[in-house]
Amino acid sequence: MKQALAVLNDMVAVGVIRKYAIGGAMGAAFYTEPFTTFDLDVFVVFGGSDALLVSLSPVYAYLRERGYTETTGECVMIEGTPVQFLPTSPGLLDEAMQHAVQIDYDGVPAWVLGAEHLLAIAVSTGRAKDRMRVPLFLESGRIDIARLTDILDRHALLGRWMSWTQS
Amino acid sequence: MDAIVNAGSALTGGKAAHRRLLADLPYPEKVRIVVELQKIAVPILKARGVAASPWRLDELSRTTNAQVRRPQLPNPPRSNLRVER
Repeated sequence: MKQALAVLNDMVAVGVIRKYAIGGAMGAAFYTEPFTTFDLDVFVVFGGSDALLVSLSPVYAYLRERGYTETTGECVMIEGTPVQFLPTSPGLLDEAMQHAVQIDYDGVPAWVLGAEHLLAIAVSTGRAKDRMRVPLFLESGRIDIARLTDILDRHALLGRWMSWTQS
Repeated sequence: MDAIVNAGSALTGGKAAHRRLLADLPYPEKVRIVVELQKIAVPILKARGVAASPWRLDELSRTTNAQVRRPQLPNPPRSNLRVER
């Protein structure tokens, strides 16, 4: 993980991507109790144009040049960690990237989406496994409910949140 | 009745406290636990026909080697060390 994060940081340093942030299950696990997940979801933002169609080709080219050619499903193996690169999209994801937080992973800086945004993305995605993360987040004591409510309200997710948490 | 309610809340409180304790673990320790959970889940997933394998993290193998604790054995009695001539 540490070496994989160093590779991600290098991608930013050499300008392949402008910013990255860990999301998905592993992003959640940085805030909650650890739970089973098999890949590292990494959201990436490219510099330059705001085109709606984003190609991940520069990321894969960078990795290929450095010998990271092993893939599993949609993930590229980086130093033993399967990493899935995901472009952001306007709206909740872009906002989440803007509010990503920097953590220190055993001496290596890394960017992770904020807890409230991760939870809002889980609500937005709406799968059963996303729903299962809600109690983990709430019991972690890391969620600012006022901040979460604001995000859910602005992205029209309060209805689903209420149905998830009141049933 | 009060005793039952109090015992219940104590148990619930203990569980919540334990979850917060886990949530507050250092990130590398969390990742180590995730990999241990992966090792448990892999055979179950394979039985279902889902291909999965645990992460191969160098830092974990280094940590594991560094943290191997050997049992502290008492020194043998000196009489056992005496060489009979």
